[in-house]
Amino acid sequence: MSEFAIVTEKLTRKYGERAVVSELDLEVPENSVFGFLGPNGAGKSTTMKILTEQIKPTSGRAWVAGVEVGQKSLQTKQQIGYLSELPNFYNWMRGQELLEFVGELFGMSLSTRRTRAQELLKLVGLEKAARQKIGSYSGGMRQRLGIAQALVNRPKVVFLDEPVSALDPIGRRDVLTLLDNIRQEATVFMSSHILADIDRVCEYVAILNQGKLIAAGRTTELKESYARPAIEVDLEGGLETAQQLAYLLKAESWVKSTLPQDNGRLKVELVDEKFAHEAGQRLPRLIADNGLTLLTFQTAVPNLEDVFMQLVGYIENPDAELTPAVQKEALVK
Amino acid sequence: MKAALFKKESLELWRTSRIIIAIVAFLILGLQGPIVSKILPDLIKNATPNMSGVQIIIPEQKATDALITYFSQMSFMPILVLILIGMGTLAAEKERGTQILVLTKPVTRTQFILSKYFAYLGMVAGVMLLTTLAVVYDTIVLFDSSFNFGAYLLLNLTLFSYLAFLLAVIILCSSLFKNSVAAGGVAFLAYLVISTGSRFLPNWPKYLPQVVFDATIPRSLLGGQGSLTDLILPTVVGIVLAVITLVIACYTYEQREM
Repeated sequence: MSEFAIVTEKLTRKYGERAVVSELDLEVPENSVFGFLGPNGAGKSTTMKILTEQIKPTSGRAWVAGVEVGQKSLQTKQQIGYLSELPNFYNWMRGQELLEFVGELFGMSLSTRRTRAQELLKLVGLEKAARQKIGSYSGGMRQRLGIAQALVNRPKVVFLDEPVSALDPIGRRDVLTLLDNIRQEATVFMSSHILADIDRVCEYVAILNQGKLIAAGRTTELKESYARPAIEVDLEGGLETAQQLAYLLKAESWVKSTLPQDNGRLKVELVDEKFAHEAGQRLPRLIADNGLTLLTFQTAVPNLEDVFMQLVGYIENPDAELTPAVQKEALVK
Repeated sequence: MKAALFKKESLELWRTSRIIIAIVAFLILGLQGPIVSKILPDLIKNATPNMSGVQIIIPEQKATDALITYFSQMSFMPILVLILIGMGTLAAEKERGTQILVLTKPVTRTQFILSKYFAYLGMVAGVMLLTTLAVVYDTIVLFDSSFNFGAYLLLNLTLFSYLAFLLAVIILCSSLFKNSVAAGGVAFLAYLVISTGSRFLPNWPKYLPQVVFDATIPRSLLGGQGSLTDLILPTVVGIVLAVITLVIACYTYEQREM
């Protein structure tokens, strides 16, 4: 298991009869940034709580950094860093004090923990607030401090539950860059509702729904396998023009669905990739024939959101039509 | 217990002014004993000026009476203050989510509880020491030193063992609830049962640390009669009860999920 930072085998957690996490088999490669996705209540936080020894699994086993979870040896905790979904700290402490306290819990000497605290405060952009009481920190500052405290012990595996949810766009960008840099020395296991962020930094993802793993693998491969072929066109005018074209496309057999947007953009999903050529010819003609002005025409780049919506949407609405790749995957699952 | 946690708990008690509150409450309530004993005869005389024909005889108050009043003062209000200060020590951490910060680090739940307990116990020890010295000074100034000083110290030690036991009960209650008020309410109920329940057990009160609140034994000991060894068993019982309660608190906390 040495090449994997986290391994789970049939990991299950039940509350009464309800399985919140069900027979989860997961392998997280070392030194990767791993995105853990799923709708609310999918079991993401519960899985993280099991892996960080906050709760016990009902059945199954898990290993973090080569150490089996739940053996009460404190060995797992020595190797990990954890940021909860709603991080809360001692408001009477100062930022630097908190990081030094965490360092002391890991048995660091005074000089080591002081240096490490200063390093981390600089890394997360809180060096000016180091002497401020945490009670006066904003939500974003707390989130940054939360990330810093999760890195104090130079962990082998960092668990981050929604690490960027409370941050503004600049803060999000900084933290994502930081996570990208951490991978050289640690494995980052993060959950987020912001799929674009996961798409940006995670080389691997796993998608969980109703406690079950429905897809896992390299982000690029998942996007190639699951994303539906689509075309995006920008039209002169706003939402109304895009809606007008969407209405016209209803009659076309190669169109699976359309998504008009405020800025006049229309995303056209194709029934199958083999219709891409036909769509490329028909769509500009249809636009011109109806007196609309085409500004741009491009093949839509598949993103994680497409994969997520298609997989989770399928589970929640099994009658929905799937691309061949998803049909195959769904049958396997 | 973990040194880092003990330091953090002690610092928290200081920074959140709980130590100051405890010192002020214990000192005010403790010093009341000798003061009330001193002014009680005058108070009663002044309160009944027109009751002609009625003669109230108040025995002359002595240093022993002042100290017995002090011990009886310590039986309720200081404990209420301790409950208010300590009820949220674990419950509020659960409520706010700060315990996750600590318990996902290499710290056992038992270390977490014991660090809290000993930080609070250290605070009570310091506050009790201050109160003990302040009350004895107050008594000597207002009355005299005609009492057995060793017995006074030993009675305070027995009182301390009782507070150590109640502190363990408060920690246990705080570990069982996610809400400070609920934890405080149950701790208060537990205190009522402990303080009144022993009276219904014949012959038992003299073996329990609550013996310091019963005037009979303290009066004879402070007056230089009786044997100081009479207080050893109640003190040991207080410590044993504290240990048993702490073991239960640690065990139940280890079993609970975050």
